[in-house]
Amino acid sequence: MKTFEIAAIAMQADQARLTTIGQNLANVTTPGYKRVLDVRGAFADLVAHEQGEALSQSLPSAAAVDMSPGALRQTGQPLDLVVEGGGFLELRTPQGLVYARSASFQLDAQGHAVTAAGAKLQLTTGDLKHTGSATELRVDPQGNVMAGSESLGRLRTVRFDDPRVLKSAGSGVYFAGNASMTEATGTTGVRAGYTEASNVQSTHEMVKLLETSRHFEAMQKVFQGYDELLEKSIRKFGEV
Amino acid sequence: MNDALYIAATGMGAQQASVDTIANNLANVSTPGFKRSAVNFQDLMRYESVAGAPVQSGMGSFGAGKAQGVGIANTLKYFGAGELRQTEVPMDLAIRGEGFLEVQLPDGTPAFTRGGALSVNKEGLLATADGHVLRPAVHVGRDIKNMVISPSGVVTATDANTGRALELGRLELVSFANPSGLESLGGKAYRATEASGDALHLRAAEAGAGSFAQGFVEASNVKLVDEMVTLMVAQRAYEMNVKVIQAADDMLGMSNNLKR
Repeated sequence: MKTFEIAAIAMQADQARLTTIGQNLANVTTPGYKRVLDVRGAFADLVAHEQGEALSQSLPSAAAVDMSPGALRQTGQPLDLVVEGGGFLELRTPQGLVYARSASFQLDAQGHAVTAAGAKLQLTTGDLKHTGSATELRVDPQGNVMAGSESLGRLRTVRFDDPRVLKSAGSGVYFAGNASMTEATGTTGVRAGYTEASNVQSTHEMVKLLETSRHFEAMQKVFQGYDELLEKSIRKFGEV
Repeated sequence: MNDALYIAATGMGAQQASVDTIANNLANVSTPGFKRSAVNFQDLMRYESVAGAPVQSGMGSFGAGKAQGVGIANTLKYFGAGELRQTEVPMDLAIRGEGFLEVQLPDGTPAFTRGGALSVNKEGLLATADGHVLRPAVHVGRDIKNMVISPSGVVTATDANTGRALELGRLELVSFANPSGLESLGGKAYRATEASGDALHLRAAEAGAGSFAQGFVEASNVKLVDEMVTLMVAQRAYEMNVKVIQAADDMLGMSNNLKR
């Protein structure tokens, strides 16, 4: 009966893969979205475990995030920020600190720079706060925030040793989890007035989509073939 | 049943909303004073934390996140200035640069506008074309000619009977911490909201504030090329999501056929 189980596990893995592809394609126009990779262990891992152990019901999976940069799009809004050189902006939410490669901020009624989801942009000294119009603000490539000629402080930017292990929190921001980070000073640049397009490559995802649905079909044939085999042998033995 | 189906459906809904917004922008490409809108998307993710406790960063306690597709973060109005077009009609008033004029709605509450054609109402007060009186009120009266509004907002005119120059009042500009948070009331009027913050009074033509431009109207700030590009992208993205739904449906059909 193992063949049935193996085919079923493979089909479940394909469905999960399709979910990831669906998520990526649904976000093909979401600014700052980073492609999710569906990383799965090999079948061999399952088979190796097989002797005497219960077969696990699915392939071990780990969703990783592809942090490669997306195309930049000029908006001219002073609080559309993109960090270049592998750094992340730090944002504060009621759930704790989160990190983003790029984000669009608006000043709220209290003068805090917030994302659409309400996460507050952090300076090295705390929340960025400015009472007045957002068009007075300037962010230079070093991350210094100026309101007219008055300096408000410097953006807190951090760098992760392995950004792929960050966990997506939705809305284009990431939880750090246990990832080790260092303060990024001098190595990253901040570009103001730009948003970052999603880094989903639609062609790549469509190829994956085709691959997944054909693999699923192949597994269905394996399932049906084995079923036929069983049926035949039952009939043959019945004749004896 | 099959997450991919629902995720792709959120993608289709989001692109549909984007096309709706583009259609509205394109329909108003030649409406004076129109400000374009754009839909901002955000990816959706749901976490079920281990003990049902709120997710905390730095704890490593969040389980595998569940992808939920895409959602609309907000639909923002962009208040970038439109081109000023000269009309030489003295009652056309535009604002060069940043700022809003405060007007009074019929119910007495304040609203804000970027200018447009002015009129004099039956009490002799300056009002917008919709009849909303400007605040602070400027009494013009009926027997006035050659009304001039200076860039700093000072309204002067010549008395038709005596020929003397009169200073009638001064228009004021206001600004907002977050103009994108203003609520549109239609007809070029906007209302302050929690998101936009309270109106901040400015002195026109000083320290970065806008100035008044009499005899001009502001064109819409819709850029045709940008809208067309966004439209094409939205259309293709919609198509991709349809393909995902088809694939998910095929796969469901195939698994139903496992048992022949």
